[in-house]
Amino acid sequence: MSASEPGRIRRLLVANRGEIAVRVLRTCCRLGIEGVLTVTDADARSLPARLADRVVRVPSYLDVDAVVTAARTCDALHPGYGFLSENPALATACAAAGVRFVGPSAATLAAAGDKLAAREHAVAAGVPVLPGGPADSARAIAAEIGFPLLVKAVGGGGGRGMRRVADPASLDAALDEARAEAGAAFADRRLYLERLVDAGRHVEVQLLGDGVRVVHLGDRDCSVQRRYQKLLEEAPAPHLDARLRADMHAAAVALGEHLGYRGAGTVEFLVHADGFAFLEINARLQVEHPVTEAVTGLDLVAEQIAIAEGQPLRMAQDDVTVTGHAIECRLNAEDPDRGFAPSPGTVTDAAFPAGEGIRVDTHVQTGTAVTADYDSLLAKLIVHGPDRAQALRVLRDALARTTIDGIATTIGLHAAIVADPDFATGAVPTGWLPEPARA
Amino acid sequence: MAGATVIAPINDDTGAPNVDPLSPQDATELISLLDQLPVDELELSTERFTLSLRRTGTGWVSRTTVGSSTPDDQPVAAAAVAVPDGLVGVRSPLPGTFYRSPRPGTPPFVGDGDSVESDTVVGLVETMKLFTSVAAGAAGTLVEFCVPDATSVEQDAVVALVKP
Repeated sequence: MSASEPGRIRRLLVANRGEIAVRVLRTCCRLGIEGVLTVTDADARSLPARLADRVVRVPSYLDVDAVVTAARTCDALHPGYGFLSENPALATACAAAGVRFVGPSAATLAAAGDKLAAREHAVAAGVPVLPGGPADSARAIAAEIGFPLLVKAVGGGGGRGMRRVADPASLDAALDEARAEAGAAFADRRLYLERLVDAGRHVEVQLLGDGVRVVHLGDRDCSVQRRYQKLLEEAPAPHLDARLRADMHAAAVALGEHLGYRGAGTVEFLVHADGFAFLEINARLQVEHPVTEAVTGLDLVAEQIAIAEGQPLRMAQDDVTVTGHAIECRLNAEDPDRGFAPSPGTVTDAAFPAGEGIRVDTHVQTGTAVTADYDSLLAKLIVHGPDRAQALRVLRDALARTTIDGIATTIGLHAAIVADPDFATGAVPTGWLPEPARA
Repeated sequence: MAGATVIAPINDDTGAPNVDPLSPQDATELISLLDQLPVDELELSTERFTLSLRRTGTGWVSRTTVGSSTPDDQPVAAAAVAVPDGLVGVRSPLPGTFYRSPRPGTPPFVGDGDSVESDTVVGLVETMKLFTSVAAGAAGTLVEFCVPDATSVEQDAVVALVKP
């Protein structure tokens, strides 16, 4: 059976949908790998289904048994992001079925997925963390770290199970709400508390590891967010003190080495007035990886596949160079004028900018049905220029040439962000974009 | 046996592997070629895809369609419900999946015959992974739910009836 043979991956199952499925299939095509795709009924006519070499129907992208069954004739499985990508059960089931999992080991996924365990690993690797601790001793920890503080879910991120708590009086109610939300989202009601840094920036470091050696591919700034979810990312993070930047790169690599990291991963940090602190580690490819690809010239999916094939890292740290500046806008099916309300529907016209320094990753074309069943990401517009000012100019013009008609989108909001003088100056904090009222 | 079945690729009636019709790099190379020519527009149509490139004041605009651009079928939502005289319809604020309980396996927010206030939450609608509360919208007695649990609903669809 081909799946159990070491060496080259010839047939890869892409266990995902949307733009990331298209993006992984493109690398398969470039590398001469046969791309097989899982689809649900709702996605049977999607763009990735039209691009894949073979299509396998599954009842749900979260169905481990169905996904592994679909992978049985493949050498490897790429989980993309979201869905089962960070679920140790999928990595374990792949190993049992003789299918290589394009991602970290099940043990690393478990360590990264438990945010408290990840915090402890960061401490053990000598990486600074914010004061905090588990919510079972919430009163004592709150007294120690002070208010305002942040309640976070142990089981996962994405803003779910997260609450800002202004004072001791509102702590219990916030814990109850966050516990219910975390339970529904991650089937794990555990919470932890961390000191809240209001004017911080979200800066993350991209890692690649082969289980022995770890390199970083520079940093990204993801501070433009709504509901704790990223809207726009750039690489490198603008106006970062050179010493601080180098310390963050070194801290991320130290954590990667401590975990014996294999695959692509990201260490997220909060940059505050006194330095930086560990937030979490994302043991998968991230939505915003193309800005790193733009400035390093690397194909992260191709590197993930090479690592899954058992190859040692194909670069040394000194081989990695960051050239110019890249910015990504997440174009979502959301109405910024109605509190970012989701806006499913049919795309009546889709037109994207094209040319030097512009990349669009999307699963949307004219006629695409954007269903309420999945997340709201429609397309990622990525621009690359020799410096930030020139990248911003390309982005402004590129957004003006972007059309997604038939549904409400965040295109206009991105145009407003890019035109904003504060954003043009750079280094805005995470609370910069006003939060919509909670529905 | 898990429920995975192989279906034919949408675009593949020849049995040959599908090929990415046009990568972003291809489009960029095509554009650098066009930039050297007195051309403002290119239309390319094959059995597998169509590509239209148009030059504008600030650069090129691309429209690509792989396969058909006929709109995809939208999921079939529950049929519209007429609101009888004297009753008030509880409407879904968004299109999505309507749930009667906070999460699977838990009791419903309210039952038939329960009394409700205007702001009583009677259900949730899940749209693109975001959950939005559905409030009764009127004080009175919740007469009945008009759609089963976990049903796909349109925006403004009547999900329940309240007698004020």
